[in-house]
Amino acid sequence: MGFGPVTRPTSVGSWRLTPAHAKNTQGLLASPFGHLPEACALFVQLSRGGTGAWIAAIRAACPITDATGQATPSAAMAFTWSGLEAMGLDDATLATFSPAFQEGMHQIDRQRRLSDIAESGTVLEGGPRWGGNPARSLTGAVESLSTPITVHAVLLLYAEDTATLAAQVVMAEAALKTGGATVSHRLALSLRYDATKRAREHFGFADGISQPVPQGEAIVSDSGSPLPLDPLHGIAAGDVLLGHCNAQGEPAPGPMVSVALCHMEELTKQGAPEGFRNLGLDGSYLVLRELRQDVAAFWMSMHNEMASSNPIDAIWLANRVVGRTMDGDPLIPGGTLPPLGDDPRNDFTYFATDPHGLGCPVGAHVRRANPRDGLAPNADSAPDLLAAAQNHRILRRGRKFGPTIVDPLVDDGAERGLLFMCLNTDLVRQFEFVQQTWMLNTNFGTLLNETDPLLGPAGRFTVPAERMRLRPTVQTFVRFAGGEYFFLPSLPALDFLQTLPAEVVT
Amino acid sequence: MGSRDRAAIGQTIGSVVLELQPESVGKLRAQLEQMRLRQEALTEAFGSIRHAMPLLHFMSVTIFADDQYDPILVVEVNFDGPQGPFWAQFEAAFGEDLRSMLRCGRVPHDGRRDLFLAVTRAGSSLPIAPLLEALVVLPSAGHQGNRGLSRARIEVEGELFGAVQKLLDRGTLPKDATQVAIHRIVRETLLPRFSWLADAVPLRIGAVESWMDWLRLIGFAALVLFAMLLPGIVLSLVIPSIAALALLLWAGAALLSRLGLGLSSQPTAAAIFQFFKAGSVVLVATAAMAALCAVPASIHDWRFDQFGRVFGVVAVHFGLGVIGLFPTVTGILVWLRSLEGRDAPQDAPPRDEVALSAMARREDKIAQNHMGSVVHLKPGLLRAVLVRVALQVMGLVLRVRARNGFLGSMRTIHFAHWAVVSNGARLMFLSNFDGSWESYLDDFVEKAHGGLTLAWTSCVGFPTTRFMTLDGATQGRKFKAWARHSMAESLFWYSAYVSFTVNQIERQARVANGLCRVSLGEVEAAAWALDL
Repeated sequence: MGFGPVTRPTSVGSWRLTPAHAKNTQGLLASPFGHLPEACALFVQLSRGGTGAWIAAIRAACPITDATGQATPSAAMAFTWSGLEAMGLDDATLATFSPAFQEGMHQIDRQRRLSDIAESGTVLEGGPRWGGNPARSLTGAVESLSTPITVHAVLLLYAEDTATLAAQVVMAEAALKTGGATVSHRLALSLRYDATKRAREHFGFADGISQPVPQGEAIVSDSGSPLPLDPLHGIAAGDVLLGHCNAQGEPAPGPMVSVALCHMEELTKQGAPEGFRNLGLDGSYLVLRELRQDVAAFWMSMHNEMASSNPIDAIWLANRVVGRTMDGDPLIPGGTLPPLGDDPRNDFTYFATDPHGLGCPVGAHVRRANPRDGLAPNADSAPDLLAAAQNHRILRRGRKFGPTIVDPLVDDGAERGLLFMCLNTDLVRQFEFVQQTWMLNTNFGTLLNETDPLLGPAGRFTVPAERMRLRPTVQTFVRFAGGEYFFLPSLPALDFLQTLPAEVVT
Repeated sequence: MGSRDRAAIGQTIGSVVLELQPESVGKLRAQLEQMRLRQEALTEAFGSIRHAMPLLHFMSVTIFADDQYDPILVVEVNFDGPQGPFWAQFEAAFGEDLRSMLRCGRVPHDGRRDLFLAVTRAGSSLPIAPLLEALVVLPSAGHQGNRGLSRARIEVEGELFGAVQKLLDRGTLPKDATQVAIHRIVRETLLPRFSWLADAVPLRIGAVESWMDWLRLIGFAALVLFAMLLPGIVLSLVIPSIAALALLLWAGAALLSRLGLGLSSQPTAAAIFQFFKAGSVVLVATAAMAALCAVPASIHDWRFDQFGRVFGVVAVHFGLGVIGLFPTVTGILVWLRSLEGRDAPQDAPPRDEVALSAMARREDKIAQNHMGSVVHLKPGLLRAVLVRVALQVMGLVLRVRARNGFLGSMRTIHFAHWAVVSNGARLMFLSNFDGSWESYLDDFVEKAHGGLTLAWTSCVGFPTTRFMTLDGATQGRKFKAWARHSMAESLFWYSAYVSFTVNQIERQARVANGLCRVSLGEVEAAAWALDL
């Protein structure tokens, strides 16, 4: 490690699940559905005392895609804890889910840890609009903030084009209606491919470049051969798949259901304690955050800080805020790492080539989001720090919403942004750690009193430079508009959930 | 503005531990809550404590409840200098609040009884500080992130750092100034305000303190070695040397076969080198001890041949003592492994939801967090000895090896310590650290699991361990669940510098030290500028 590139770049999707697991796992876990650029998120609210019957109706209209291959169109489905409760899942089973998932994203102590604090200006005015709104808590957690819109489940629909997608949505809505569920919120999503089929977010930067590669018994390469170990991007399969061996050397703990409540043989007992079925196996936890982006504020701020009308200067600073160029190329001291073929490079470390952030600032967005070995205090510990960072990675599945801005310097008042989506099995050790300890930590690395320049509140941003660091002021560009933790069940678990409410089998 | 100490100032870590009358816990909790709210309501939160106790770095007050013990009150303090002056400040800061808190305690039934009664008697106005000092439990092992930096120095260097940032952000420095020139301009500009920049940089660890650290470590290591040599020495005194030799080798071999080490795996060159290095240290230390023992015999009429004769005899016994290390060490390992093989971990401790949410409510408000934990020690003679030796060695090694605050690659601990309480039945851990509790424990799991496992393996319910250092804390989820379960909420917690991490304190010290120099060379200036 430490000599720049160490592995061949791994393009997203170059791994897959073994057939035994692929048929049970939702396709979203194994693929970002890059072949289906248009998508829609339907946020579903159920009536209290409901059942799981609506799931069957939805699956008849829009089959939930498995991970065996490419399906066109595709769909995925996940549930909040309050949603599982609303469908009549019993308390004993509800208590087996991760405490963070049970409490939800808007629990007040968690809000503080995630920096979703209204006073900082990074939350939509009036507060986040949607969440699970759990009515009670089995974990003893006090107060949650309640949001105006309640979300019990999310249905994600993916299609090649907008016409197919529209047809899908119509069918899904009809199915929801017959099942007694309502759509409480919706977002039209897109990968926002440019002319060269590169996905870009609204500020204009290529995104979704760096992804971890799950490794383990259930994962093989695209050709079916075993995946070689990847020190830079390899993570334990159990860090994205419940029930599989995780970074801590044990099956990632997931929910389980008593055999007395579930007699479905498809839901395996394997890996569950005596008397239970493994409700979690091949499932995952899905984090959703609706992030509004203020494109005009971003580019105006870049221009103002550089005190220049030359776009080159604004782009220079914007690159440093993000940590890659607009085309996704990594910043290194004195320039950028040129792409290999069509893809931006992702096979680099920070410590050996850029320990002080002269290329990519220590506090840049991508360096905070995945510091690789960049937090190492010395060369000896760089491999250990890289290995430690791998224990906190997340598999991203985000998509963009809202229209492209016409003039990036003029605010058109339109709502646009990113629906951040990520998969992980340990919400606290993975998603929350990244958000709290890396992204919005005011003491990240050697920095003091500054957070992620892209996501965080307005403030200083240190840009190390050859002679003397710069410390421009950045504004608030991104606001949290709603979000929640979801359980992305395996397909057998979905079969069980649609039979809810569960009754004791005699 | 402000000033910096001239001489090295050491820090003291300690805790007042007091058994409580169970009935009074409610009253005490309410009183602590009142004290906390009063401090938080000040214009400058905790301002009165900040000003009344200028030596204090961190302070916590925790009540640990337990199914098998009555609750205890623990007041943890980390401060500059010796205990005497500090406790006087402490008493002045809390006044009669302190006396009424102590009245919730159970009257000690040892030598401190009279003092306790006199201080807590109704209407008593006797000074409280002597009682506090009498109740102090000192750590078995402690660690400090910014050793030798007094509170005053941290504050004044932090102020300087802020002033430097402000100066640079003003953007008035010449655009083409070199780093050498920037250093000169910054120094000239700030010298009038920070006159101490003209002084020499004070030492962080004094020569005497440094030597004492080493002497304590060497002394303790020699004591442990001597204890381990004893079986061989004693045997060689009671039976003929050749018989002793045969017996020791046989016993060693027999025990080794019981241990069943994975000797099928090839030892690496590095491991062999380490083995011989350790071996030669043991041999030299043993020879020194033998020589020391031979001295009294020849001291009467000093003659070298007399010394040589006695040394020869003594050396045979000590030599057999060294041979005796083979069965002794192997025997201890066999015993240890048989215990470890049957240990009963508590992988899923009951979740006390009320306690967990009470802790979460207090966490993640400033740059640092606090953790207080009390666990039971495993029973048995071997565990009792090993945990004490392990903590002692760890504490002494940290004193000489971890002076820059790094534990491996981890540097997030301001003050942390372990102490044995409840007459040797329980182990207490108190820590003031940077970042979230989850990230702190992840650091333990990922970067410092060996030491953590060594310290906690002798405690009831800890995840399964091999050879006291392996596995254990690497089982992250189980380790975290176990540690969280052992904690109590920090009812009253104070940090003297709420936004400074260990790293930042070191960073501003480097900036200050650079500015104490009249001028820097090009390379030095470049390194100095990296911290700005």
